[in-house]
Amino acid sequence: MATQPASLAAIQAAKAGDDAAFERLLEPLLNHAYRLAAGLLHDHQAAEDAVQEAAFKAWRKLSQLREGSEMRPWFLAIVANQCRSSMRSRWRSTVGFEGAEPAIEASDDEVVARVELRRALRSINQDQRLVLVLHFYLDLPVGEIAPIIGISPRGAETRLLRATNELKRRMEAHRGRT
Amino acid sequence: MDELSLRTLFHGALDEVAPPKPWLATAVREELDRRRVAVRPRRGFRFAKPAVQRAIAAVLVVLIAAGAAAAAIAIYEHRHNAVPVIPAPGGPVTRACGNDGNSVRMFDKNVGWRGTERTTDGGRTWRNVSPQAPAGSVKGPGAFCSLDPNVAWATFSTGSVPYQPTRMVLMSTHDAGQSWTQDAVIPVPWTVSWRINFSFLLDFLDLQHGWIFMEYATNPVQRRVYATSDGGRDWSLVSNAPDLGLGNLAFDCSQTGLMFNTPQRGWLTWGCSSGFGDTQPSGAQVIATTNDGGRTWAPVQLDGMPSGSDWICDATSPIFTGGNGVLQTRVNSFSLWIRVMASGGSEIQSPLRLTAVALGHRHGSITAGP
Repeated sequence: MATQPASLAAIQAAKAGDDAAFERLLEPLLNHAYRLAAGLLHDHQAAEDAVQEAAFKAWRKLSQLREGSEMRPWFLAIVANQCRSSMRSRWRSTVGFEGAEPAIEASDDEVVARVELRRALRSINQDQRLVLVLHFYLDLPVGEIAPIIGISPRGAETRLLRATNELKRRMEAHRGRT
Repeated sequence: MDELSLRTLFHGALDEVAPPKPWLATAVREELDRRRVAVRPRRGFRFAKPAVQRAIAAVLVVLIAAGAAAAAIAIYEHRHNAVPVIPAPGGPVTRACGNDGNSVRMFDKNVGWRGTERTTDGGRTWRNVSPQAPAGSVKGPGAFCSLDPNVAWATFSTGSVPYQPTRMVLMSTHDAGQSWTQDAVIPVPWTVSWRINFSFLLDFLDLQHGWIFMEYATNPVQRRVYATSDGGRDWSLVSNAPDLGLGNLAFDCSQTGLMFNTPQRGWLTWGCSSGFGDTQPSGAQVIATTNDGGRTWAPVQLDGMPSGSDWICDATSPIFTGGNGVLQTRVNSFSLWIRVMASGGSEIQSPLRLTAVALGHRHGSITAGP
């Protein structure tokens, strides 16, 4: 899922204090950021809060974005860290999702599989959860995942493989005997 | 499951928790406008001349390198001075018999259980000795408990909707899985929803005395403890309070064990770094004990354990030899070993020099030292 790299001029303008330039840089990234946060937090309201918080932090830290660097992996890394902080410090009700129950047109097996996935994902550690959501939900290749999580592409590939195996193992473990 | 199927499943599962938000960009812009009024970053501000900055940076590099070297030396010394745990002759090991079916429990060098799979060749091969699922079985929580090479119990969720069991069926075998008997049907005391975590744990101390723990992660949390003294045929509710008197301790965290080392003294432990939600425990309390067979419970506050919103804690179910036992706690990624006494009381043993693989996997008995 390729995006146009933000122009150098736009980034320089944003760094110089042009708020409108910053917002133009940020807007194309918000959908990915929201999906990432929702995939990590499993709560759409918490995800929206995390994205807003991350946007503010990105605005404050824009000077740290290196010349020539892509903005998307940098911003998604901020979102991921914000979600990590949110998971550590936040009390949440466990009563399902807020708002209306989503329409379920899928068969029972599909519903069960989705529940199993979400349960397994929530039980997995944060580092593995992040790489799984980036790859399987945001559809990012390993080369784009690596700079988000701050490791080498080889390391990201290994982490993804282990996380996938662990997820499958936990999904199997959550299944009852039939 | 291949990659494409897994990816499709991810999209289906997470799209349900991420409804589209076309207004998100506007909301972010408005929030940024509001916050920028209050705070403007100090970009490009220099608090010292470049030469001074370089000098400070050099000092910091030296200090960090010295600290890293000291840490590396400490880790090296710890690893190479570790005392391996040695089996002591005689003496029983008491540990939780229940697990989620994925842990291995060996009773000697050849025979062990892994859920309803059994090995007789030291784990090289495993044979599925699962019972026929009872009528009405649905996907959902289950528990397994192996007491010895031949005796084990297994539970099944039953009902009409997956992950919403109305009753738990308990079955047992006394012949290494060759035959199974349905012992009891235990009603689930709540109308559970698949959206909210429902957990079920099982433990047997011996052929007669066993306990069931159920937890439904509503807010406030609801918990029950049941006990049997006839090997699982008859169960009675023994817990007094609807939350075991523990409030929201370890709320929405994974249970790591239910364990009784005497008919009166029992332990509940949780792991909050890998729970079913993202809820932080109250302080660092992820351990609770009972001294009256499960009627009343109290949290265990371990001396020296940190508390506060930045600490995520896990604890394992304790393992006892005679009067003393150990359990492992983790505070974020830092492990602490706790020596616990069967009669009560605990102390941090740090460093407790064990080879961790020996705990729970060696037959006979273990000696924890120093």
